[in-house]
Amino acid sequence: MLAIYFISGFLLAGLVFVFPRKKSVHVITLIAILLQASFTAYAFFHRGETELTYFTFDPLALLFQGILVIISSATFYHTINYTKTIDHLNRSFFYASFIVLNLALTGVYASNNLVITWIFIEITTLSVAYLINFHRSKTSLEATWKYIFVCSVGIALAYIGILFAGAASGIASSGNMSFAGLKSAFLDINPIYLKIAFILILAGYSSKLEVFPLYTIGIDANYVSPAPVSAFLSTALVNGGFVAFFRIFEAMSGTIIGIWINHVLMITGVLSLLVAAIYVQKATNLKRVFAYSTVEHMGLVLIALSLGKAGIYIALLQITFHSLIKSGLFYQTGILHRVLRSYKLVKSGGYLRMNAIGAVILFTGVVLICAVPPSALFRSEFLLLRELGLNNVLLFIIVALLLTFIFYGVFQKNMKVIAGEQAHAGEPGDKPAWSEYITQVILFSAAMVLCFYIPSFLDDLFRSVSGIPDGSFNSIFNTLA
Amino acid sequence: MLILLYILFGISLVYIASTEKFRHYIQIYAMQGILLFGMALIELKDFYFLNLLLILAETIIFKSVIVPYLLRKIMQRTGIYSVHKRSLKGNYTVLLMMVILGISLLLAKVLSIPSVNKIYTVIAWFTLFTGLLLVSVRKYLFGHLVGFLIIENAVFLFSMAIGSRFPMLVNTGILLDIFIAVLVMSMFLTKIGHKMGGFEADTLSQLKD
Amino acid sequence: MVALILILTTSLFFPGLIVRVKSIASGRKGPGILQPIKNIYVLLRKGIVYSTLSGTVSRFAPVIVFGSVAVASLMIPVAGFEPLISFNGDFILFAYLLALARFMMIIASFDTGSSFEGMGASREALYGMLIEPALFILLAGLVVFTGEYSLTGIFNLPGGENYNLIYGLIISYILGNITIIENSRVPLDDPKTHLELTMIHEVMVLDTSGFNLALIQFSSFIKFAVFGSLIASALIPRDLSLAWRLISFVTVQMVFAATIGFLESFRTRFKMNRNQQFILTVTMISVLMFVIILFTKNIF
Repeated sequence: MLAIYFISGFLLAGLVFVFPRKKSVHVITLIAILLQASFTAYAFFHRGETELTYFTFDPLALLFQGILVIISSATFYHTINYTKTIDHLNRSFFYASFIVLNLALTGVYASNNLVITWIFIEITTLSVAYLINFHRSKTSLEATWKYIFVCSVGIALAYIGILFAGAASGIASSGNMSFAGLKSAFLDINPIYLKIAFILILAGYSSKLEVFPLYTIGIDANYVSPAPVSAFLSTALVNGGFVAFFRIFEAMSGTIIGIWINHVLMITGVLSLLVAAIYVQKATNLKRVFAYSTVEHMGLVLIALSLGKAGIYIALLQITFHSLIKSGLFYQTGILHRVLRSYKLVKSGGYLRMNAIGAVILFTGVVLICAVPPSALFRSEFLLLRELGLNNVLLFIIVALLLTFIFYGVFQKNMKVIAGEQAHAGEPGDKPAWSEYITQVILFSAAMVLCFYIPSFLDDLFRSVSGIPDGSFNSIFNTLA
Repeated sequence: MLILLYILFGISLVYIASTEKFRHYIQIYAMQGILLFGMALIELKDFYFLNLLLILAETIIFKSVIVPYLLRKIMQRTGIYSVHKRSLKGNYTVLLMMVILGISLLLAKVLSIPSVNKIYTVIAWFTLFTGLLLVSVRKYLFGHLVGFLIIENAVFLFSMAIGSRFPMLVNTGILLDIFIAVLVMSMFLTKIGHKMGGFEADTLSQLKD
Repeated sequence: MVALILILTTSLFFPGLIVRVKSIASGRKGPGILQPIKNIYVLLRKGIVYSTLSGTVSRFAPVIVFGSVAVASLMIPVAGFEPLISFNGDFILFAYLLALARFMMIIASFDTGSSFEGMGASREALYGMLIEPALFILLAGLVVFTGEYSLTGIFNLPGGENYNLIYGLIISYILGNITIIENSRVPLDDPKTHLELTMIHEVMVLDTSGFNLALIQFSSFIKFAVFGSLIASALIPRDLSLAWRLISFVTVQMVFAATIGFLESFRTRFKMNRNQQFILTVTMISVLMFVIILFTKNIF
C-alpha cells in the first residue's frame, strides 16, 4: 500500500501539470488529500507492520500521520483562496510541491532507517522551497535562498553525524542502519562517537525543528510565505524534524551518554526559550510573533524530552496540541491579512471592529497558544512544569520566567491587533465568508476538549511511544506513580 | 597512491583559500572532482560494479563538468569575476587555514576511529572547515556557493573515509550533492541576480528583527 | 668533491639555460647558454665605482655574500655524492648562511643612501622573513621522515624506507617555489624590469658595479644550483649506478631550468600584495607536507 501511495502521489503531482486549469488542479489535489486520508486509515488498521523494509507504521508514525492529514486538508482548503489569481504554471508548481511535500513527510514519519529518514528530510527541503517563494518578492527570494542554503548545510552536518553513528554501529554489527539496529549497536560503543553524532544531528536538524541554533531560517520562511503555508510549515514540517530527531534520541538515550544527552537537550531548550522571549518583544509583524511562538514550544518540547519517559509523554502532548492550535492561528492570520491588508503590527488594529467573528477566533487562538486553560497546551505545560519543579527548581524558575515574557509579548501584540486603534483609515478588505472559519473552530474546539478529555486511542498512541503505563496522568493532578 | 590524492586535495584547498579570482575557484573545484574520482576508484573497489560506476560518473561528470559549466554561466551572467574588495584578503585566509589545519588535527585525534587511517579524517575535517570559512569570509554569493560545494566534497570524503564499507551511505552522500547543488544553482541562475540588484551577501540582510 | 664540481658546473649553465628557454618560448633564438658566464667574466675584469655616499659596508658586503653562498654550497649533497662539509645540524647553518647573504645585501643597499634601494631592501626582507618558516618546516619534516640531522642524511630520502616518488615530487614542488622566492624570479619579481619602483632584488644591486656585481650575480647562480641539487637529491633513487645518477642529475637540472624558464615566459608577476599571499601559500603547503609526514611515520 505504501508503494501504491507513493507512486500515485507522484503521478498526481505530475498530473497537476498536465491539467493546469484551476478547477482540475484543485480536484487533483483533493484526490491526493483523500488518498492521504485513506492511507492514514489503512495505516491505523495495520499498526506495527513494516512495508518496503524501510517503513514501519509504529505509533509515532501513526500519530503524526494523523496530524498531517488534518493539517494538510485544512491548508489545502485555505490555499484555494490564495491561488485564485496566479497563473497556471505557478499554480501547478505550487500544488505539485505541496503534494510532494506531503509524500515526503509521510516518508519521514514512517521510515525506520536513519539514512532513509535523512533522504526524505532532504526531499522536504527541496519541495518546500517553491511554497515559501510564493510571493516572489525580494524578501521572499532572500528567505527562500537562506532557507535552502542553511537547511542544506544543516543536512550536510547531520549527514556527517549519521556517518559517525554508522561507523560506530558498523564496528559492532553489520552496519544495519535501522533505528532498532542502531539502538542495540550503540550500547557498547566508545561514547565519543555517539556524542559527536548527537551534536551534529541536533545542530543539523535544528534547522527543521526550529530550535536553537538554526531557527532563524524557520522564522524568515514563516514570515514570507502565505499564511496557510506558514501553518503547514510550523506544524507538519516541524513535526517531521521532531520525528527524525526523536528516533535518534530514542536510540541514544539508553546508552551511557543518556544523561549527557539530557543536559544538552535542556540547554538547547532553554536557549530556544530565551531566544523566543527576547525576539518576540522586538517582532513587528504578526506572523513573526507566531513563528517565535513555535520556537518557544519546540524549546519546551526539547526540555520535556530531557525529563525521561514521563517527559516523552509530555513532549508528545505538547507537540500534538501545538500543531492543532498553531495551524488554526495561522489560518486566522491569513483571514486577518485579507481584512486588515497588512501583517505589520503598526498598521493593524481594531480587528474586533472590522471582523468580530475573526477577532474572537483570533483571541481564542492566542489564549490557547499561551497555555491558558481551557487550552490543551495548559495540560501539557502544567505537567512539564510540575516535572521540572520536582527535579530542578532552578530550571523551573528560569523556564517559568521565560514563559511569562513570551506570554506577555504574544498576548500584548495580539491584543493590539484585536482591540487597538485602527491604524489607517482606509476601507477594510473583503469580508470573508463564514465558511472560512470552520477549520479554526474545529481545531480550537478540539484543543479545548483535549484539555479535559483525551480519547483512548490518542492516549494509547502517546503511551506506546513513551512507554509509560496506563493509568497515570489521567487527571492533571495525578502524579506518575 | 591514495595518499598522493589526499595530499593534492589538501593543496587544492590551500589554493582555493588563497586565490581571489572566481575563475580559479571553478578550476580548482573541477580538479577536486578528478581527485575524488581517483579516490573513489581506489578506495571503493569492493562495491558492486554498477554502484561504483554511478559514483565514478557522479564525481567526474557532475563535479568536473556540469557544475563548473553552471558556475561559469553564473559568473558570466552576473559579471562578477573576483572576490569582493572588502572580503578577507588571501594572506589572512591562508593564516586562518593553518589554524583550521590545527583544529582538524585535534578533532581527528580526539574522534579517531580505529579502523580508519587518521589522515583521511584529517583531510575531511580540513575540507569541512575550509568550506565553512569560505562561506563566512566571502562577500559575494558566488563565494558562498563555492563554499557550500566544498562542504559537499567534505561530506563525500567523510563518507569514503568512514563509511567505505556501507555503499548505501556513500550513495546518499552523492544524492545530497546532486539534488542540493542542482537546486541551488538553478535558483541562483534564474532569479537572484535580477531581483536582488547585486550579488553581495549584504543585500541579503533585509530580513531582520 | 664530486658534489662541489657538479654544483659549480650546474651554476655555470643554469642561468643561460633559463634565458635560452625564455627566448625560444617567445620565438627568438636567444643568446648562447654560456652568455651569463661571459657577462660575469667581463664584469670581473672591470673596475669598481663606489658612490661618494657609501661607506665600508658597500666594500665588503658583496664578498661576504659570495663567501656565504659558496660555503653553503659546500654542504649540499648531490644525488648520493657526499658534500665536503656535513655534520649534525648543518641544515640550520645552511639556512642562516643564506640569510646572512641576504642580510648583507640589505645593509649594502641601505649603505648607498638611495631610497629605491631601501624600498627594495624592505620588500626583500619581508619576503625572506615569510619564506623562512616554509624552508624550516620542510627541513623539519624531512628530519622526522629520515631521522637524520644533517643535510646529507635528510636528503637521503630515496634510500630510506617507505619512500615514495610522491613525496619527492611534492618536496620538489615546494623547493621549486622556494627557489623562485629566494632568487626573486617571476612571479615574485621580474628580473628584466627596468622600473625601479617595481623591483625587489635588482634594485638592491643598482649601485654595485664591476667585480662586486660579478660576485653577487654569481652567488645568485650558485643559489640556483644549490636548490636544484637539493631537488635532484630528493628525486633520484640511490640504487642506480654512478653513470645513471649523473645522467639523471643533469636531466633533473635541465628540466628544472626549463620549467623556470617556461614559468617566467607564461606568467606575469604578481601585484605586490599578492606576493605575501603566494609565499604564505607555499608555507601552508609545506605545513601540510609536514603533517602528512607525521602521519606517515605514525607519530600522530
